[in-house]
Amino acid sequence: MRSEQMQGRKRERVGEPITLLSRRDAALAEVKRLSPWLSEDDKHLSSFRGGTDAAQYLLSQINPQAYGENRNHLEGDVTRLSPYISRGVINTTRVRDEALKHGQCRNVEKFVQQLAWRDYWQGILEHNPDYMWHDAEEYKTGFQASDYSDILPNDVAKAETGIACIDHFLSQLLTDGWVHNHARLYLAGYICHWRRVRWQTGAQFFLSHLLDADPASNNLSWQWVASTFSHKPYYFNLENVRKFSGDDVDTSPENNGPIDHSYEALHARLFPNLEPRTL
Amino acid sequence: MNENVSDIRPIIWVHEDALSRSHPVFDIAGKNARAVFVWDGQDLQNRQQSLKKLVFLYECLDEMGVEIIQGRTANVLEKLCGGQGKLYMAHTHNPQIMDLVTPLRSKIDLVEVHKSRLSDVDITPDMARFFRFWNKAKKSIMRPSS
Repeated sequence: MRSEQMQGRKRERVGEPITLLSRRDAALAEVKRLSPWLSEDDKHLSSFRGGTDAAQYLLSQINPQAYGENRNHLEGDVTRLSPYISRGVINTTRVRDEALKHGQCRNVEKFVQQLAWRDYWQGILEHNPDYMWHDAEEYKTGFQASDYSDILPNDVAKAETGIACIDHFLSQLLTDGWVHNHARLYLAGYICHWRRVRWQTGAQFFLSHLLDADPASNNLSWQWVASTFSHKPYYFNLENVRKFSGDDVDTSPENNGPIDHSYEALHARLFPNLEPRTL
Repeated sequence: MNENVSDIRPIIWVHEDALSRSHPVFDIAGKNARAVFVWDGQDLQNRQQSLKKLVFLYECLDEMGVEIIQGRTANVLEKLCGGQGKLYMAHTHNPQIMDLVTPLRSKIDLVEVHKSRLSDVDITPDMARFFRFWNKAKKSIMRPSS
């Protein structure tokens, strides 16, 4: 307790506006009063602040040109507006209009296209409400749905898989409630295909923790990774993670063994019932 | 909760997919409307919402200055409407949220208000992959709001 108080004072001294801290303290106290079911182990607060001020600030910082170039990199110029868009704090048309002020070039189009994915997933779900929790199509992994577990492994839930980069991304999910989209794909691919867990279980795990959780884009993206809403399963290897990660992610081979293989080797291991993948 | 049944101000049900007073539901319902968020513990618990998400949600609600009432969503809203008047809500595609007011549909005049979208192109069954939608909608999506 004492160290938490000291940490709080230190944060105020280094420039965090005191009003914001006290607002968050008040919000935390009220949420705990309103939500007596919350576990004592559930103690993480996001760096994202709720409300329009934070959304306006992030909107003023968007860089669609750079986004178009580097959005797949974990340190790329992504907007971090998704929690505000998903919760309706800010509308996608507003973000689109702001982006178009940067011109109509290919990179700006890429930026707006990503906004359109949200509308697309929502439209698909409205037409097909069953897709939220039921497989849209068969798995294309060589397995049946019944081959997948309903239970999220404990080490995944605790970010203790022993695979350094996966644990890094899981920790972000558990503590901040926001993870770069590319890292979400890594996590979903790992949970579905390495651990052979049903996409529904993974989707619920994300919905519990992501501030921007939207059942349409979240669950249908999980189906896309699982291959029940795509032509093939999504998987990755360490080389890909290394290519798109910054220095803060441990991508050393010794700490990421299970994903440190060629795509051909991983395909054979993860999908042994399918025809071998060839270059 | 001690509600005056004779108070027939229209009610706006604020839910977690529309946390902004800029949403058109506030204009449609009118200045006299009473905006309420129901802190539905059973629903939040069923959906395993984490502390960080609830604090973010609360901060948005606090900034909006809407009333927060604890209880089961349908029960609270039915009581607030008192069997008369209208219940306004922002449209959402989220079935988990819509399910909360399903029991009210036969009892209350529920008005769903849509916000502006990037495109008026509807998703049709033949758009099972994104780029079929994008190719059709791109022109309108890349046009700024008038």
